[in-house]
Amino acid sequence: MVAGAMAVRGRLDDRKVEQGQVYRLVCSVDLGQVCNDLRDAYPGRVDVTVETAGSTADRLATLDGDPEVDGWLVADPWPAIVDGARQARSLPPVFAAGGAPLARSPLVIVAWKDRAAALTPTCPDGRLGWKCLGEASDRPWTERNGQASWGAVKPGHADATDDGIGLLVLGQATVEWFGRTDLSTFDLDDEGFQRWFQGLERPMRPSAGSPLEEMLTRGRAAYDAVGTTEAESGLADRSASREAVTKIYPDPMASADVVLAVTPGERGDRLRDIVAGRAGDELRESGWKAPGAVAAGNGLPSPGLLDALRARAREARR
Amino acid sequence: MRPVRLVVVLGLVLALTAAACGGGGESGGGPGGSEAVPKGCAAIDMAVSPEKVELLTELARTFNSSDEAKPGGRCAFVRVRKTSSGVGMALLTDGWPDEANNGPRPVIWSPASNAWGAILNHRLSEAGQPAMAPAGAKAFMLTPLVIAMPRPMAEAIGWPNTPIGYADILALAQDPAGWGGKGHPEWGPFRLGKTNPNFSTSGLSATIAQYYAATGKTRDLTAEDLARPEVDAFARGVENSVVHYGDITPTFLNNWYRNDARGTALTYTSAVAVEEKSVIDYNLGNPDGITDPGERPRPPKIPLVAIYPKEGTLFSDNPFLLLDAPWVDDREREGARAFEQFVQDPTNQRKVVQFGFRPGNAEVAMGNPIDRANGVDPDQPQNILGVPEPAVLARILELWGEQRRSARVMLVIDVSGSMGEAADDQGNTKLDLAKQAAVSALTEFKDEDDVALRIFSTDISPQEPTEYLDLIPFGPIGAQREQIASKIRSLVPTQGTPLYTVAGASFDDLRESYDAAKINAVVLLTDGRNEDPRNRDVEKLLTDLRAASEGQSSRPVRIFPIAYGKDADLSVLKRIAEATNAAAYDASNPSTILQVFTAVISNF
Repeated sequence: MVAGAMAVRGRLDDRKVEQGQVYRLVCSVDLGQVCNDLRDAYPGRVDVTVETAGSTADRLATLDGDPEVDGWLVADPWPAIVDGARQARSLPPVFAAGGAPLARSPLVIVAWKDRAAALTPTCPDGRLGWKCLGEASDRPWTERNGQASWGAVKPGHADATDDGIGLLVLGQATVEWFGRTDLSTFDLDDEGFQRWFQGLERPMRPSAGSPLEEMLTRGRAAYDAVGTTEAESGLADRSASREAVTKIYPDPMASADVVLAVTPGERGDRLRDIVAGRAGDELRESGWKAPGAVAAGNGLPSPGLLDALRARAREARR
Repeated sequence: MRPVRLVVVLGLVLALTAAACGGGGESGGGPGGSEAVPKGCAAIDMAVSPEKVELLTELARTFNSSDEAKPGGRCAFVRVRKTSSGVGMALLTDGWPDEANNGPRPVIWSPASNAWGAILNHRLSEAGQPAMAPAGAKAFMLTPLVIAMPRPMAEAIGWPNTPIGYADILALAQDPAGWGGKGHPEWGPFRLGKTNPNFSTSGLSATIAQYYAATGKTRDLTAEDLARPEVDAFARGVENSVVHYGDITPTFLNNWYRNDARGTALTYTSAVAVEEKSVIDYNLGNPDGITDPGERPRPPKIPLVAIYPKEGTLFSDNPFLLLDAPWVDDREREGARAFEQFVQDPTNQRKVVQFGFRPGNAEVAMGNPIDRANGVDPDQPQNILGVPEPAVLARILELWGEQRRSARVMLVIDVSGSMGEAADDQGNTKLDLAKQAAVSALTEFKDEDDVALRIFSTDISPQEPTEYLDLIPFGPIGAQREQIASKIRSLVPTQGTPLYTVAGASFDDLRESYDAAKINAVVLLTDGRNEDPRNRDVEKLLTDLRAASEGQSSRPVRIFPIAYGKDADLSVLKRIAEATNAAAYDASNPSTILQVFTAVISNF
């Protein structure tokens, strides 16, 4: 991780053509093609580095001095998580306050229809959501109306310790378990929650790419159900397996916001002027919605709680 | 433990070797690797694992002449070169040395599995270097690891109605009753085919799966698991059923296909760990997956079926790794990204399916030839085994070097007069280079391997048989490595080449002293044609070899010939190898002999 971070910093240095001319944008890899399009859109003007949200966060959380970025395109509240971690270390914030979301997308679960049909009747209130998936996770399908050949129940989401969206999905799942968003880190010590959390997170295996893509290309062998954004779930709608999958909106609803967090001062402002409009357009083209098109309030716990969940997820996989 | 450098030196070789010799060929310069780059274009060199080189070459050709090859108005020109996954990993670990022999440093690396990228990054990290394989690389096509079995054998263990797992297969492999325990004593012992995991993704995946079966786990394999005595015992038990290793799965599939034609498919090998695509190719009559010009594929009499282990399996995910290497510049990155988009395009992903792979783009449906008619099941597998952490993967490779089946190998070296001919401009003769290669290859054997040294030339011995001379008898090489090396260094060229006599006699000697616990083999290095006036009957030799290699009660001794120099009789050597279900290796360029020797030793 450290070596990777140094390599990224080195690359940023190399490409710094002349201070004041090349703006430095880090783009979270889970935004997919949007990052690639931005990278190609401003040659010689904006240097775009694509990396995981976790890598960026870990680097910026401890960096003393020039953060060597002018802006970060990522799911909210990752920038707040970074600045919260810096505050705990008595370091100044990296990012300027404010900045409206560029795009929004509800969080959804995409599941194979036959798996959902088997599992749903066994769920509390007959409703398939994260609470039920966490309880069933890694248990034999035979306990849940399924067939022995299906093996164990395999829910999935992107790596909550590293992926911008993956952490939000885990946040949504946690809110669903507790039934509220105003959580404190003490709540995470609840024994029942810990059992459920371990059940959900411990079997979670790292995915080379997007878990949804893996589910759709490798079939039921990979995952039975995957949490992601509605925007990405468009892939399921376009896929050859579209008739075999179903989309579920967990209750309570939650959504992911994409923000362009910029550093205070002229460079950050200038970067925002250059890329914000285009980034919003690209996001909408990728299936994200204008912020106003989805109900306000993202239904997620606080940045501090999400950071604590990130740490718990890391421990669970050890 | 076998040194890692084994895979490095192999980088040069396999295009020169097994491809021409019934083995396929899993590394080295493939089509397109040396294509001239049009003026003004950036060369986007791509190293790809062998099973997809034809497909990628075709896609690159289409891309290079398309508008997509001009991202930002600048021209990109993709050149595809065949490099086996293990070799690519080893070369990148070393910074991709010797471009003259290994090909240009790649901008894109596509091994068969992302596991190789993880091992690469782990080894770089251990050397204090930054990662080269990027995280989150997308698969552009997929194929699961399966256990290929002749249909009657699969049916005998319950296929297709009973789910079959690695543990079931491996228990059968260790059952002393062999197929007799399943009501088929005529099939003899259960024989497992498995490639060397240092070279082959199928071999690596099968070895990982084997450890999972030993632990009862399906994920989170740890170094502690590997160290447990019962896991070690299980692994050694499985390895003991292996017929031989080798660098590429087509060696097994080609031999299986030839045996099928002779009606002996069921006694050659019972099961081989291969990719699903290979089962399709085999059943279509194209066992090595390469269609030669004019070739008319003929389906086998006994088809293979793919068993998808009930515990789960691993996918070869063919990642598209745009290397974060110091030799890759921005323009090359731009061209590489354009090619990746091109490859992911649904039109091109449909070509992927035509080649027997599952598409990496979810928008494209699977279809013919991935269907039950070809022995595979598009609805399988139902479960996946977790790819272990990089450190665990590295430990698996180390342990395999210790646990693999021991070998009993007779090195038979031609010291005929022609071996005294100049081989390079450094003043080395062919024999000089062969001696260096043989001495170097001795380090690749593990201490418990029994190795003997025999030389041959007409009238080399004062007494009968006069055609060959045993310099070192069989014994554990750990105790006599230096003694063998010393004898090899002292060899001098003498007279003619009694090839047929020494091949037959060496084969017979190993059969007479056969050790059922080991891989029994002859490595026969020769630079010429048979020159023995007392024995010119190659057909009798082949008939005898074949007869002794067939049947459930046979004591399989493999002859791995090395055709050394341009005058070697490659066609006869290839037939000798095929008669004993082995593979011949081509070192017609003497400067490749070190690499070829190393490739041959990968069979043990």
